[in-house]
Amino acid sequence: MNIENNILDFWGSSGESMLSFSILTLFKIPFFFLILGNILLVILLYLRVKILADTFSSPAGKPIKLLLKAYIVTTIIVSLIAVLLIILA
Amino acid sequence: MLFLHMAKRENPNEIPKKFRSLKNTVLKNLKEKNSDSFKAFPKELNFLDKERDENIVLVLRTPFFRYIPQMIAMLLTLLLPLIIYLPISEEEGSRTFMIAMMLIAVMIVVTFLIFAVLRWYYNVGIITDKRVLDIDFHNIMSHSVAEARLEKIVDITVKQKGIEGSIFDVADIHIQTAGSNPEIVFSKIPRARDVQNILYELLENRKKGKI
Repeated sequence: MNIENNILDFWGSSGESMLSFSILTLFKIPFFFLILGNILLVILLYLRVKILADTFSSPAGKPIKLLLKAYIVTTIIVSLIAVLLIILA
Repeated sequence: MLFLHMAKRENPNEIPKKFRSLKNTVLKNLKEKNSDSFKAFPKELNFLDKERDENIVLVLRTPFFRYIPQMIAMLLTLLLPLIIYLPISEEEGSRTFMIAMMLIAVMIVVTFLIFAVLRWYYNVGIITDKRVLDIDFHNIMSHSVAEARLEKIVDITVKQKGIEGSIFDVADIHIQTAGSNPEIVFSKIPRARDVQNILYELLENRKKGKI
């Protein structure tokens, strides 16, 4: 009887640890895609704005392009930090 | 030299010369209620293929308040990391993961806020003394530019609908043309009836050869 209980306890505990591991990993994977998607979105936004700024030019056009360039750099830096934190977690 | 240059510069509040000579026109009083959504005779704006003697009469945009609900919805994205954090709060390293999630959420929200502002800025309708232009920034993947010469305009219709239209006095302007692009639509534009009158007046003066 004791042996049987021990086996059941072992299965139960090992099953739990497997589950907790997979939940965190499962949450991690989509976030890598989100980070990549966001970087792609910002770059595409910059390219679209570049085209639009040529079509319709205004005094605000240049600051907008500069702001977007700065935001691309910021996004890449923050994304790298986020990736590092996800790996460490 | 600098003073000479300054003296030569036109007063930015003045309307272009060719419109000053017109009698009984609504165009002369346009600059009184200028806003970002309804800008008359802007001096520093330009567009591709603008002719030398062409003057921009009006620059129209949808009022910014239309983008506020989208922006509020985006801000709700910041709650998502908290919801995800609840089932994993007991796990080892979950706090570090939470910080990473918050960073990503903030980044995505800021990206969409910037996108909303840029969509407002680049969704623009331009009326010149020669043509009508409609630049639409649909999404990150596409934009469109529709153009019609004033001579090609057949009919101008103002359609005001919904609560938004009644409260904020915004309406759609449908410009029917005889060209290959049969209709140009300025969506949710303030002072739509004024725009309609201005367009009719421009058409009339263009036909008479006054502008």
